[in-house]
Amino acid sequence: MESFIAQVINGLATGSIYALIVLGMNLLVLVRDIVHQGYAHIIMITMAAGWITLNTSGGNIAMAIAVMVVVGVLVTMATEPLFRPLCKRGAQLETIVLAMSVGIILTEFMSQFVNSGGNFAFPASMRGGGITLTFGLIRLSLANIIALISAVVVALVLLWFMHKTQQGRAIRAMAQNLRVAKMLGIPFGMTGMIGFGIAGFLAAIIAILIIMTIGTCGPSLGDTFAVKSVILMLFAGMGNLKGGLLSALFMGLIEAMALAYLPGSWTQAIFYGVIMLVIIWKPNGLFGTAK
Amino acid sequence: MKSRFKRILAATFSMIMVLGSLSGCGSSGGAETTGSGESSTAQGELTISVLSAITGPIAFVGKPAAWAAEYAAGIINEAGGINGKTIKIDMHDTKFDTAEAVSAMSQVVDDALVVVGPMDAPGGEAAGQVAFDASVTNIAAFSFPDIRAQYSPFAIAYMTDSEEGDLLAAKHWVELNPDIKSIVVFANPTDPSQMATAEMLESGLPEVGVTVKKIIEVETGVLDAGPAAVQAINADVDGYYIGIRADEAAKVVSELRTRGVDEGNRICATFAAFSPNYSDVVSEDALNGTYIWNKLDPNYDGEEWNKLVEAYKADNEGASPTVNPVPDYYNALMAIKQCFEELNITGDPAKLETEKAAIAEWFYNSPVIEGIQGEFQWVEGKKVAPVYFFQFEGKQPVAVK
Amino acid sequence: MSTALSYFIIFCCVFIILTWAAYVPFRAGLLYNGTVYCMAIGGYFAALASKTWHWPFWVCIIGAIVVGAILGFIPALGFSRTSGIVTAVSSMALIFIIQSVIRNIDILGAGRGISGIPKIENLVLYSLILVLIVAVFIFRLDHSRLGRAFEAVQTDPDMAATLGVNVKIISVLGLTISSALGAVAGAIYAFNMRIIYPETFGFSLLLSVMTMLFVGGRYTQWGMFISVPLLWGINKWIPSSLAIYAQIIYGVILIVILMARPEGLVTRKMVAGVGRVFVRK
Repeated sequence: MESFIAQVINGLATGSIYALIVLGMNLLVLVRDIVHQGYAHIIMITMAAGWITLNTSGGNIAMAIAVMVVVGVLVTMATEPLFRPLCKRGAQLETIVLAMSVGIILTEFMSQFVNSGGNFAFPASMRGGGITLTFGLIRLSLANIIALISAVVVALVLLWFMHKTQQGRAIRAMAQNLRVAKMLGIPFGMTGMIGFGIAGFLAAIIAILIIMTIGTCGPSLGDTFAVKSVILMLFAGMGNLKGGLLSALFMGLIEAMALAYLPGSWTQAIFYGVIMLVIIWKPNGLFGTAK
Repeated sequence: MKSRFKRILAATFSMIMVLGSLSGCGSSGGAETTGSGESSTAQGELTISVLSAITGPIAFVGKPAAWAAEYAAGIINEAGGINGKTIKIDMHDTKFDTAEAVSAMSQVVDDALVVVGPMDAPGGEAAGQVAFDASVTNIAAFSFPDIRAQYSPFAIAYMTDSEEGDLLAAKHWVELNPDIKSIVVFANPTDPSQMATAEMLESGLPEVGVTVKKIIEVETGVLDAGPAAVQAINADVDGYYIGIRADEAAKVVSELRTRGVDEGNRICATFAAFSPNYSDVVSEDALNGTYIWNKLDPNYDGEEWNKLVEAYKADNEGASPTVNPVPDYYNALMAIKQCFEELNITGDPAKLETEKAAIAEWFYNSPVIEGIQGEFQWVEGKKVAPVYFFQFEGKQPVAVK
Repeated sequence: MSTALSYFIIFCCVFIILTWAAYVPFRAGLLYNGTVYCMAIGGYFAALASKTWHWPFWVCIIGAIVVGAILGFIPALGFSRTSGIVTAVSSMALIFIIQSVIRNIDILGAGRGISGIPKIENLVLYSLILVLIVAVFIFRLDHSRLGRAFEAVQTDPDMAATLGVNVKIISVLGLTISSALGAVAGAIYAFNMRIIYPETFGFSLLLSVMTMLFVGGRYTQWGMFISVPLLWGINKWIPSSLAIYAQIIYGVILIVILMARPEGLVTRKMVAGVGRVFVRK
């Protein structure tokens, strides 16, 4: 029983990280109707920026966080112009490939230029002081709780933003029908930039939470998150914020259970097999798409 | 007007591409043969091809390996080269991809006397076939006896067999800690070498009175090692053998230590974890007291090694070499020098076939060679060299006698 | 012929056929990421057939086509329910599934792969012949009734349906043909490498194929002849001082092409232009 509870907590901890990434990707689906795999890699680069700042500033955490927010927002916004011509001509499929190549570039950049391609760890001070409650096998860290709460809070804030604010309505209108939205005078470039900027800010938050919960980063981190998050997003329904949150938490649990109780060599086949069957069964995702 | 101009531009561009690719095909075949043929006959130059994964996910090992080869060539040339000829390294990137490794090997194999690399096992096994077909001695990652037998006598392992090192280290570890009677082994189900290690420990440890209770599978790139650690602790054992790569090993050890494994000496890690990805990432408290073994000793005290470390530090912002291909690639180059001098290899294209055969024979069962970290030897293509056992004191691995 | 040139030609043939395997579903408006899955099936089938059962080359190829088509048909039935972006992303899952399955089957060498695949003497010639056969097949397909139906579905699935085209059958057919072609590429690949691993058929191979398709031009069957040698041989075209940036350059090329040349290097207009030159004469 003790180990079961420990595994549940492990699952929720990973699940909340997935949930945040899926939320960020869903936001970009709503903004530009793109599947942005490279978003996971942007989070990785943001973490690297934080690590470099910590090293050069002698462990100044406030400065590291500031740099991470700036890098997250700037890099995410910098990818917007890449997608713009594709979105304008309605080439949705091509955007997947473009996002993948953003991913390759960022991964290769990390393995060539950041810490000579090695992994790096963040100091304990940046990891929330390592405040943990331990009962035998069960370990509950402050960071895990913060990550879980942030996932829920971010989802609520995004829902409020998309449905209650002027900007959010503009974004949704644009995602639903670009031509009509333009006729109504919604600025295409500006709205997109704001959406990407928010996603970038979210990327910085996710990066900080990954630092607190996992504490390490390396060139392979982007790929680890990218495919799984994109597939999870489809599983839940593209652009569905609530669905994404729930299914990411659920998948985190399932994955931890599978890792703990199933023979390891089959986990991957089962995990992706089940997801694929669900997607084929319900092409709009379990919870339906946003439109 | 504008669209016409664009079309012409596009057409010209495409034409250039086509011409480029055609001429490229030519150059990859014909021109290159004459190119390196020239260099090997020209007075005083001998080309040695080296393959390593300079880009891609294991660049952090591949780049130091490539550096070591270039460095060794520099040392050899400083001392007057091989048989009076300076040597030139022809470096190729395999990108940690088997097809790229085969492609790189195909580009150098036609007029090579010996090829060093690929550095990774899958790349080595794939490219080894090309070297075997061309009867070229290939000093690469042939870590399995069956693959060496298949390509014999041309497959020469640049490093020692990992499974044997694992068994040796595990025995050493339980000998030092007699209270360890049962252990779990962490292994990656997708890595055949690690699964082979786990099986070898299962069959080899009972003779020293230790049982392997469970093999815990940890996949590459796993995000959270919590489930694996909980499983291991649940197995209620005295020791934990970490048979996985540094990335995952770091996570497993951190999790084990925060979940109640208080004594560091209950943990022993394999050589694949001996990298900054392990020792820099795990906290000092968690690392302290744990064991690890490796195919190189970073603190080895030898004039040649100290000089290499200084040069490495100068080129790599003060970092010291910890990955085993560094001394192994260096030793491979030095062994080539010794071989060429003993056999009086000329590099003359006319004598290529006989010289290739002589080199293969020399390496397959080599004399004892004085390496940068002690003596080593090749026996039927297998490298026989000492391994090193360490216990961490804080972040520092300290050699255990 | 030098070893380097023969390997270069064979690898180019493999990637040209593989890129065609991605091109065919694209004709029907589908971005199918399962090509790599089919390649794994073809490669493993050819390896097993030639090594264990000692089948001759051409029988292996035909066998790979049949097995690839059958195992491609099954997921294709599922993907006929989905469209666009959903097919693209969920077909990625096939790659992870096949890798995991291969690793668990001992007869396929599990994680160790299959080594010692017999050598084929005239592989360069054979693979060029196969490229020619596939080229003719695709040319005929593109210029047939079926090809026009594919194009109608690509342009507008709803309109195609009102014109009496059965969109579901077209997409199943497209994906099955693609699977058979992928299997051919896999078989040649296996014979060329003489050793085959589950890791080979992973995400990075998928990226290479997609890059070759999009850079070459995905609306005509000819773009591959430019993009494959250009991208496969990228280390040859760039100066060795830039070699460590090869993968970054690869990504940048793809992004630039996607942004600035929507149809890729070889466009439909260009092909039509070349065609007109010949017709006039």
